[in-house]
Amino acid sequence: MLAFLKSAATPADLSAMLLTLTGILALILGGTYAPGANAAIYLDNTLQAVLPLNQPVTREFKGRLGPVAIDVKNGAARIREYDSPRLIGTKTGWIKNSGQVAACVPCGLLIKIQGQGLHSGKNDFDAVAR
Amino acid sequence: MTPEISSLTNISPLRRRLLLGYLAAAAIVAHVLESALPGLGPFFKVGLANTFTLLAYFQLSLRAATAVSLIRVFAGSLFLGTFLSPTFFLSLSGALGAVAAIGAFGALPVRLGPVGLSLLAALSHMTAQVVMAWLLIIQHPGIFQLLPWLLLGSWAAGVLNGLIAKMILDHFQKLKPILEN
Repeated sequence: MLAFLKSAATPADLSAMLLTLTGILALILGGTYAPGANAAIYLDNTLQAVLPLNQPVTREFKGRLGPVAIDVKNGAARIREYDSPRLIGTKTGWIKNSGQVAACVPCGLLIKIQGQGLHSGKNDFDAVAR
Repeated sequence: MTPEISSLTNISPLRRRLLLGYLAAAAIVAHVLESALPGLGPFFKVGLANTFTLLAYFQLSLRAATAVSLIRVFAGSLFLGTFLSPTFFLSLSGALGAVAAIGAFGALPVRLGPVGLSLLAALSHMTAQVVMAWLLIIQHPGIFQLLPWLLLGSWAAGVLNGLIAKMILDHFQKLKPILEN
């Protein structure tokens, strides 16, 4: 496969592949991974609700294509689309780190994890005593 | 910059139009068929229709590539019933972004082949779609945080489509004496 790629691609192609992949990985790995505190739900850029991640709940919102469910459980949130062409929001899965986003573009719905959670998992500290 | 594979320079106008039509038809079929298939992951779509845009660029011209791309978007949306829907505008913006990238990077004084151009077109395609999604549908800047993952999927799809285009172009080279006769 690599030999075929080397024969099929020019040196400029290989350079472009390497540079772009490096850039993309830098963008991905440069993101924050601190656990979040809340899931902010936006519909057509209007804030609909802020759901604390430490309170399990399922809420349904009316998107452009129909109802969309947002699940919150175990410090994470996810989208469950019922009718969307590629189900990108659903396939994104659970998100829990501050700054992470899941979206159903055709639905017009976006969830963003905000804040800094104290509880992130069993291996993290609960609090710092002074 | 000249394309790595020599284009059909001595082809008659009729054959040029026929080839453009065949490529456009193939792009439409690829576009419609792919929409019926289950996705391979949240951020990955092969986008095989873009391969035919590339073939049009390397065999004919940038103008032909633009025509194939636009015909595919319009006809594909009519087949799928998404004409003038948000999906249509996302598709259109992606197609225009890809063609713009092919035109811009293809004009650089470096020898980019089908793989490199396909990759850059795919990245441009995805970026244009996310910008359009932000403008039209989800006007929240948070959507740009999905972009790195979407670009990763586009990177893989761009390389794959470029390799497929290269294989087809190698076969086209064998047909060149017949087409130019």
